[in-house]
Amino acid sequence: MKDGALIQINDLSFSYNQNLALERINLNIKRGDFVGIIGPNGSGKTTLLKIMLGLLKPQSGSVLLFGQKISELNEWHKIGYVPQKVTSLEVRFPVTVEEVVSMGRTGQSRFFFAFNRVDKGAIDEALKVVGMENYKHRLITELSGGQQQRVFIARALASKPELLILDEPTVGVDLEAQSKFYELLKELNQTFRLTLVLVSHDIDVIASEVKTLACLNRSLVYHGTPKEFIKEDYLKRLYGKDVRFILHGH
Amino acid sequence: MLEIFQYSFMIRAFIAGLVIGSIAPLLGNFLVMRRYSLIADTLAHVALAGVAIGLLVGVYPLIPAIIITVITSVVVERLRTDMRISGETVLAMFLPAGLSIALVLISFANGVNVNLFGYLFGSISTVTQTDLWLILGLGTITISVIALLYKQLLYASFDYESARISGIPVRMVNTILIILTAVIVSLAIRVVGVLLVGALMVIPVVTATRIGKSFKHTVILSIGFALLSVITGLFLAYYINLPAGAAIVLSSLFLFGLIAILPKGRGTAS
Repeated sequence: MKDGALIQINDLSFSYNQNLALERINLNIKRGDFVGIIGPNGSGKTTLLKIMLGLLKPQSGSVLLFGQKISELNEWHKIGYVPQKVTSLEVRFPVTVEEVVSMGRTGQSRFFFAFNRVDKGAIDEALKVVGMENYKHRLITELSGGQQQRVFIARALASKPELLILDEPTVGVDLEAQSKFYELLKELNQTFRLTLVLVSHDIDVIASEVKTLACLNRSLVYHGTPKEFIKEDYLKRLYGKDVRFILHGH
Repeated sequence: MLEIFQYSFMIRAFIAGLVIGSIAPLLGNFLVMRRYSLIADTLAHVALAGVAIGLLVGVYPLIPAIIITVITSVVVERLRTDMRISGETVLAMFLPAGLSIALVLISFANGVNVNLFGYLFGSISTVTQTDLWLILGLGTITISVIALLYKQLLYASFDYESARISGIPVRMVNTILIILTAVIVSLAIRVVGVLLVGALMVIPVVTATRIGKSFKHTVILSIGFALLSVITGLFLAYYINLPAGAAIVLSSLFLFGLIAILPKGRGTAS
């Protein structure tokens, strides 16, 4: 693995039919980093995320996760994924918080109903980390958006990942819950040494929370610290107009 | 002993009804969760085409029904995932297709219409020993596979994309679920008939979601409601001479109504 890079993206391009979505992206994400991938709508953020997660195959260039080609990777438990929205929640099927978090162990556990003691320990620990241990037996549909998001983080943590990838995780979450949510992410990054990759369109918020920013607009426009990003007025270049920039909590 | 149990045909009816009544909602939970409830109805109409082939060529109808339904279920799944045709649309295509093929085949042969009627509305009291062995055999296999893949089925039904990212072979898991559904739907048409199969797979599940305290609890409740409906339906059929399939479905609807008006009903699956 080059310089401890967990994700190595080399000269990556991707098109949907004839439309180029990503153009010659080169990006290394180091172990222990907290990276925010930002960009306007249609900038290719979601496409890049899907390629990193092995859901889309790049047409040219390569992506290495943990030093391995995605097609050869079989340690998917090292990657925790927190989706933007889980559509089955709209169906309001009764599923408990514990059942949702235990899904995080499914990829590694054996067949049949029961989870073993190691699985159960990991589930309880994950719930504790996100502060939802008292909600274990509650139905996921009864929780607020912010609480549901914590449960989905716990599910991702239950597989004991080294890398956490989050897709627009604060959509539909109120402001107070959002700030607690970012505190939790910081703790996961600092205390638990997790590498975090967060995709968001909410530029001003995540710029104040992450260690590194990667700005996409089909190609990689900027990769560096948020401070530098603000100083160099990249935002204006990215969006082509004046955008008010507020740093929260600083 | 109750009079109803003095007849071997009623005992066979009860065994067939209780086995199907346990497995249909078990599968139904995963289907309702992924908003795929209509698959049962669609496959039932396809099974009818298989039954028609069986009646036409003079072989035991459930065998061609199972074969054709299983093949169709895999095609439906491929169309949905590879050609990206929405599940709803694929089902709307295959339901009339199955029925049309059945009608065309039947028009070739006169005199089989009466037999077919039993498959349309179910004729649980005519369940044969062969039907029973098939239901018991395939039923045991289905329950074993679900027990084996329970966790994977739950994850893939709840959040397909995350399940896929976590390394679960979601495509295979989905295909297995739909094949099992095809088999059980084909068998269930002996009990409730083509037109009512979907109801047995879906209504007890929706009832259970009203009061379920977890997924596992909902699964158990749904089986309980289905079994209660089968027993009530069969008693009604025997003692007041109602068509058994319809009596079973109406019993399950009655249970739904009863639970729905309970004050503490939580949100239901839609």
